[in-house]
Amino acid sequence: MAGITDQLRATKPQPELVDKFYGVVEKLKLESPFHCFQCFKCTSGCTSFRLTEIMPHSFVNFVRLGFVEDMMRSELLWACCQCLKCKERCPQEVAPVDVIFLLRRMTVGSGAELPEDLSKIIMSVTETGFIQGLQKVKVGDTSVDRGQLGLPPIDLPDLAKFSSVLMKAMEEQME
Amino acid sequence: MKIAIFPGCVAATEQYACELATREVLRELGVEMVEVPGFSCCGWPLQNVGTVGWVYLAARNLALAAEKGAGLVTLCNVCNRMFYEARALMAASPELREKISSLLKEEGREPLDGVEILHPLELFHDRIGVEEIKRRVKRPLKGLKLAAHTGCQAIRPRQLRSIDDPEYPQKLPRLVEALGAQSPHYPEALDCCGAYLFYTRKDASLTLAGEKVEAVQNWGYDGLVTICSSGHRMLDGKQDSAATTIGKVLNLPVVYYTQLLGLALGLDPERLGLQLNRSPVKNLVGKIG
Ligand code: SF4
Ligand code: SF4
Repeated sequence: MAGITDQLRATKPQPELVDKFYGVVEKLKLESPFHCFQCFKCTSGCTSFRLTEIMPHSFVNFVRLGFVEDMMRSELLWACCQCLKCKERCPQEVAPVDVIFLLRRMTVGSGAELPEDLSKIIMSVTETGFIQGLQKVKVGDTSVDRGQLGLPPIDLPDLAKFSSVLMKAMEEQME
Repeated sequence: MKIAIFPGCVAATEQYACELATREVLRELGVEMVEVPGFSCCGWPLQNVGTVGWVYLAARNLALAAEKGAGLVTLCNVCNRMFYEARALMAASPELREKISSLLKEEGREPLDGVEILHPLELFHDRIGVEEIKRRVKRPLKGLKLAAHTGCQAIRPRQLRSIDDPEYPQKLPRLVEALGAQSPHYPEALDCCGAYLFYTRKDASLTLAGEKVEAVQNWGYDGLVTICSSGHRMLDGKQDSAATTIGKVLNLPVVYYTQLLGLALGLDPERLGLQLNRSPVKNLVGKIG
């Protein structure tokens, strides 16, 4: 991730988005990034930091300093695997993962595209109630479904109603 | 204790062995189960796009269980966390709670508090109990050394609920040992399966799964035991693609705890869905006396 001096040279803080960010933190009683003292503990134990350049402490820091829009645009937002170690271990009870997920919601709310596979499962949930249709699974040379295995059916009794209420719920915003 | 199984998307649509084995062992142990038609996704994927949508799905599922007077047992660690988190958010924000109530009313439901949300670890370890499980074992798993994978979302964050120690989870190893096997700790016990990176960074996700399996394999365990459908889908279901991703040979048997428990209780492997596991579980089942 970019260093702080690069960031300060490249852009200016975005006060309206900072207000928006803190508005949600306040409403949902999330932990405030302002309590962070940049100890680096979250990043040192971050699962995804082993494989990518994501640094949770850095997301928290840039948000604290007002660079909300820059963080919303970071591709690394999508590198978090939600292992929740940063939230568990932060000595200041800051939850970097919650900062990351709030930024995801803000960026999607502002019209940015979701990663394709994530977008697919979200579509499927709104249309069928599940992330994917019922799969047939392989056993030797044949494949079987829930019924053949003796499992009870999984169905949403009134799918049209379910979808319409869910769509309405998704239009309601807290962010 | 009346229990409804909340499968979640992964067990409901693909990881059928998870639900099969859970149903078989609960029946054998005399746990009363009720069916709750209409369960959907817990809401997790929608957490990426907004708050109201996913909390509504979580609250709707909880309301369905409450209407039947049942407690829930979650087959996926993530669903378990989402239910607790939805509740915490509704308690923190009256505005959110109000929105959720009026959405539920459109479906003719009320947000009902107080539904018991049980993780399988709580059900087996705390309710049924390690001693009772030991007493019921018919085929002890003598001589097997099995690694336990509890999974991230079951144990963190501790502020939300306390299922097991977030840094040194011991309930799953103890449950495995109750069946007569050994389950010593290993340095990678807390390593993540990568499940929720799968939709945003596939390679990184498969690398996490592959490295986890590789570590357990290198320590010389006979197999890996899971308790979460999402984790199992990565470590068992995608073990082949994970091996390709990291360029290693992986052939570690991965079983659900409920499958292992069923075997120890003397149940038929087919009824436990062992034919559905993708990893070489025959190597493991063959070692049981
Ligand atoms: S662990 Fe907490 S206090 Fe330390 S850098 Fe991370 S967010 Fe800040
Ligand atoms: S939850 Fe995300 S940011 Fe936090 S430690 Fe895990 S991978 Fe890193």
